[in-house]
Amino acid sequence: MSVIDCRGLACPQPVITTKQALEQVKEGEIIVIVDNSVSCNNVERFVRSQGCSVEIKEKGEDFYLHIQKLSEKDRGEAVRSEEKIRDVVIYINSQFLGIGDEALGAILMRSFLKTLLDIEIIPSRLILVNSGVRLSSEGSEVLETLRTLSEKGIEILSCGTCLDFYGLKEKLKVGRISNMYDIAQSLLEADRLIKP
Amino acid sequence: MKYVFLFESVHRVMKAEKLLKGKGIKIDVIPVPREISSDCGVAIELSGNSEVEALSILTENRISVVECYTRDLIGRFQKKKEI
Repeated sequence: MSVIDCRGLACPQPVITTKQALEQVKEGEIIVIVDNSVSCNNVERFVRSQGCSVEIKEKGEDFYLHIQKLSEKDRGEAVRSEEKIRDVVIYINSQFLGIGDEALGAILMRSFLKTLLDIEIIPSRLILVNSGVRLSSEGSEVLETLRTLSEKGIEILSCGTCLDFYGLKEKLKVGRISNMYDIAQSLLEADRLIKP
Repeated sequence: MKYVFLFESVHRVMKAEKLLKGKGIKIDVIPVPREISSDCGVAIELSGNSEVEALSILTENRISVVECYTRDLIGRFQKKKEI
């Protein structure tokens, strides 16, 4: 059984090192040690995407990830079941969640986005249109949340026309400006489309 | 270490948010974590060091905190007995 010490390594090095280590073994357990929760999450997400199971133990400030690499046949099945929901797209067409009181809608939207951080299913894209682009622009209460989502690999697209309309084109703080071609294509290609 | 304050209603949360932000205290409105309650609710999260000040501001303005939790670096919650 191999133990890989990734303490002191900056992202994405722990994930890369883990990937290489996993390639070395056919089946069985490897232990990866990281010293921060971001690396821990990233490595966990990566190995799960590879169809491995993982158990995390904390020792002091460190995280020990006990990763079980399954045989090729079992792994294939695990990966296939994940592939079914591969492309989840979240479409946000307002800065408020739901119809009704706007102050409540703003709180619910913040709650929704924050909750995404804790849920295992990782969407591939978050598309912001109309007043939804306020969420990714200067002064937004959820910039930090969106940044964390973006670090997790979720692409954040803000509608360029909308940024322009609200005078926010120079004030986009996270993700990138997109256009209706990209947006329409993402919506049509999504395996699952979520509109909160 | 972070602190999580729970209130009686979402209206109280909104009031508390406005008040604390007005006083320059850095807070965040978060969904009430599953570990604490299964109700759909929101709570206020503050980073350590400002909870005493925040509590006194809230008390002054007669907004009562129903429950208070601490959250450690890896996200574990612990209920504080005294508020």
